[in-house]
Amino acid sequence: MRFLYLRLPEPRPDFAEACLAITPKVHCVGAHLYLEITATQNYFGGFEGWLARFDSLRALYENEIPFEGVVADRPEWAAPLCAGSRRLLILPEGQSQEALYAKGLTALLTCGDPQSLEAEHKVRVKLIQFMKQVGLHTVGDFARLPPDAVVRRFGKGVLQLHDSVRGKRPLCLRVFEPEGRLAEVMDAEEASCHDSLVHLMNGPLTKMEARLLGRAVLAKKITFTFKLESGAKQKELFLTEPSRNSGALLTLFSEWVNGLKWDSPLVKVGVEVTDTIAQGSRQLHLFDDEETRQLDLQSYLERLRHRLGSDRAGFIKLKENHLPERTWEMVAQPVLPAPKRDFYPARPLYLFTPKPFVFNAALWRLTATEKLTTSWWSGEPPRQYYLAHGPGDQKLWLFQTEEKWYLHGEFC
Amino acid sequence: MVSLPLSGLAPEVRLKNLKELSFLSKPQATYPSPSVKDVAEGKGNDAATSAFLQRSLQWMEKGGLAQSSSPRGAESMVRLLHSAPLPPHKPAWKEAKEYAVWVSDTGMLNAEAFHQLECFPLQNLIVAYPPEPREVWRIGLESIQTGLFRWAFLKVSEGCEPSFLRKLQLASEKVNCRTFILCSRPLPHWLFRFSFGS
Repeated sequence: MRFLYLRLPEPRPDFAEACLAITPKVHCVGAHLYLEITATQNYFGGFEGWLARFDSLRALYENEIPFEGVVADRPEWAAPLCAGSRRLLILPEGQSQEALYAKGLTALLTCGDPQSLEAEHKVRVKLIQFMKQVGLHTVGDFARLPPDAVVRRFGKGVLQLHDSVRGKRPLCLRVFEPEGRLAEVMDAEEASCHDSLVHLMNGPLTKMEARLLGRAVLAKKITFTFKLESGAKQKELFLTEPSRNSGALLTLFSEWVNGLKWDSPLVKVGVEVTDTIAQGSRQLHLFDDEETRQLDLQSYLERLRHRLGSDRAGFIKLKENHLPERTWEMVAQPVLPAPKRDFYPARPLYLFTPKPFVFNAALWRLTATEKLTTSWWSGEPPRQYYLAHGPGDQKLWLFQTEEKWYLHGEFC
Repeated sequence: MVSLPLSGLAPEVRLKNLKELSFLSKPQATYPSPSVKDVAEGKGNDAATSAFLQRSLQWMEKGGLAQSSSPRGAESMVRLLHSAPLPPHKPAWKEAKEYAVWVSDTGMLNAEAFHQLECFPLQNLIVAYPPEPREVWRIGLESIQTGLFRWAFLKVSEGCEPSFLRKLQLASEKVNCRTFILCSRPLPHWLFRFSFGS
């Protein structure tokens, strides 16, 4: 597994979104960005191909985001290995651990799960001081201690760090999900004529292409906001054929902007994709058609609910209620039920809508099973349930309220 | 598709082709068969029990129709699902992501009781309660024809035409769906892989 770690001066979700165009596994922890290379390096023709792709993406943001990074084997080792000074360090595969072991103990401050680093910072500082006192100098010295000795000397809490340093603890990072508006802003003060404006627009539209690719959508409607010294003007561009190709969008923009006139100098231009359309389904599993099946199932269920009514078809969602007929409801989406109850009274698999009926109790052998109190505000009397054994091994489930008998189910 | 005349084929190929025809490969239900309760509890005649288990195994593997004509059919069905032997190369059906559809016209499945039985994962079950028995048969056939379900439970108060049942059988076998019909009305038994009374 190989990761590219980028340390940004501030959180940049737009850049993280653009990175989704080269790998689906983008993890964003504040201003720290982790991109998994292994997921798509074969697709781009190996590691070099992947890096070339990343370089072209980086070139779009070069002037805006001064970042430094490292290519390492594991995400938990990446931050301490990051060289700094706006450089991208590429460690050969399998040499990250060795490089980490050679680092001083201060590297432990940034080693491990990036999601908990801030909370553990103070403890780590004290720990490093203590380690220095007991004669440890490098990360390698700490890593080479046996786990038992680590627990004995530094406590149980340090074992997690020890495992992270040795690469024994798999790290689970949340996958970045793009959200919010698809908008880019460009300074247009330098645009002296129509051609220079089109030239400047190339950058934002290329970024937008990467972001649209990351979201797997096509632009359907683009809103351009022209900020003039005298005010702002908004223009909308509708695309009859949805697209995200920056070249095609630029040509369209060039022709479209020709007809526009401004009464004062242009300051900024904002581009926002206000309407999009999904481009096909998301990536499916290679060996299983589970996603397709679920989509088909949803659409079939939708048709069924439309035909029969939403209370007559659907998935089942269990509810907490003491009345047997109200312990579930029909829903459109599958819901994971709660685990099986420890005690469940004898109730039939099949229920009828309770209706009063004439019941000759003398012919049946009755066994009282449970007594259920109904909601006082509904005015219903309490129910005494019976299991009725009848002729021919027939078993009914019925209840009695105020001398009336109701058939509620059959043990079938 | 190229169709060859049967007479032009070698006898063993011919036999194989003939065996592929579903009505020839179908084991006829022999009566009396042991009750599912007996099978689940290990009681009853050994030969009859093993024949029953073999038929249920075939049903599990190849799909098709099975019927319970008993008024206590649902209980038998659950017993069967618990006791039916599974093909060794497939994952346990409880763990496999296999969807099921339950269609019935009168009353409702007690979902909580069904969940307590740990018979089938509730999140993989779709239920439909059409108002008429004819709709049960129609929705059942439609559901099976979608190919989305590996299990179909039809609890219906009225029977259907043999031609319709044949359609249901062919569709079930085509998409490898195990269709369980809970109906006390007489139905043509030769279309079922097996059926039982109690």
